[in-house]
Amino acid sequence: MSVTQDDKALLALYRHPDTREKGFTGIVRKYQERLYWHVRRLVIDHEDANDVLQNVFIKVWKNLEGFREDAQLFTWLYKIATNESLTFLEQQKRKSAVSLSDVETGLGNKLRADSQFDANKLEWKLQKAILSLPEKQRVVFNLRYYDEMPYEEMSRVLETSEGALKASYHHAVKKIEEFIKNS
Amino acid sequence: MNRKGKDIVQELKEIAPGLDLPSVPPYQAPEGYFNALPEQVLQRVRAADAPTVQEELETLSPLLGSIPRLQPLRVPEGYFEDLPGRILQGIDNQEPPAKVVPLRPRRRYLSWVAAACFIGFAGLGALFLLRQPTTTGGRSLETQLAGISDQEIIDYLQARSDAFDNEAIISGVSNAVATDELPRISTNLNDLPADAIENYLENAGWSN
Repeated sequence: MSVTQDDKALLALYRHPDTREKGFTGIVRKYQERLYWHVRRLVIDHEDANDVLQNVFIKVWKNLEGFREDAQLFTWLYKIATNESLTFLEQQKRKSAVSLSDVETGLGNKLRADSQFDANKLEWKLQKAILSLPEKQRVVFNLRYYDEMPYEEMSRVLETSEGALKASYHHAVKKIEEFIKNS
Repeated sequence: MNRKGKDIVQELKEIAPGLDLPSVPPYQAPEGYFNALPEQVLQRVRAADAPTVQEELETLSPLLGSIPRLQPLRVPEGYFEDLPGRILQGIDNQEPPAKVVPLRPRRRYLSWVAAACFIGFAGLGALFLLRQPTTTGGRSLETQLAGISDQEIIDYLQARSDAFDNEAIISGVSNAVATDELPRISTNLNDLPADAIENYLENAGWSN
């Protein structure tokens, strides 16, 4: 699937030196919210999400020149955002020299530190359940559950077969169901 | 688009002999459209057949399917409005400063002058050190020798020197004589009277 007409116009603006910033700003405005939430659901904290998102768009700025239009811009952006988020979590792990479970506990603490947090509400229980999933499974669940991304597109973002993604999502749903039932 | 068949063109001429219509339309399909069309159609067929995310979820977990998909996390108000500006600012801060190219070639002779000065000072220092009299514990060799009695020096030389040292000592004395301009002593025995030589030998204990 190639870029949409709207994306084509934005890319054309970006490629012209006089309208480069205008084209880039258009791309940021179009995708910033979707990418923000994708990143935020993975790193939980707003400030962390802001840092990661800005890095994502700085990378986009640097590499957009070489973006091939036979790919979809949306998919390419999601791929960068996913990689940046997972790299951020990896760095957090290395910085604090803690185990994966400790990082998950850290993310859980960030969740509980949210001013709106209410452990009795189902939507917060669901957030805690999602955090109990392994990182990659969490990415798959979020992309499917919140972004309603088709498996075919997810396959391009995560460079994983559709079958593996379906299995991963099914496992994730079962684990979350179990978590909510027991909480 | 293929051109019309011959019979179709003939038929058109028979119906309207004066009407000379172009055989191709003035518009074009986007490049690669027909290559991509089958896949696009198949994608839509698959999408129509596939259950929606909600249907899939309800099948997998009726409990999870019944939970409203709310996002409890909040984002600060107005965050997205100025995000593009902040990102562009971040990009500007990351851009490396332009390389400054000097308009005139660098004055290389300054480096050469600096190098020559360094070599000059180093050479003078080395020369100064070499010309300094040999010292031991801060005293020169001559000063130390002056403190030793002549007899002690004679005793030392008689005890330690050998035949080969004589030549060096005579040479040293000759140099010292030349340098200090001591009064010349004639070494030609023919110039001395015979009785003077005899007296010397007797006094020095060399006579039989």
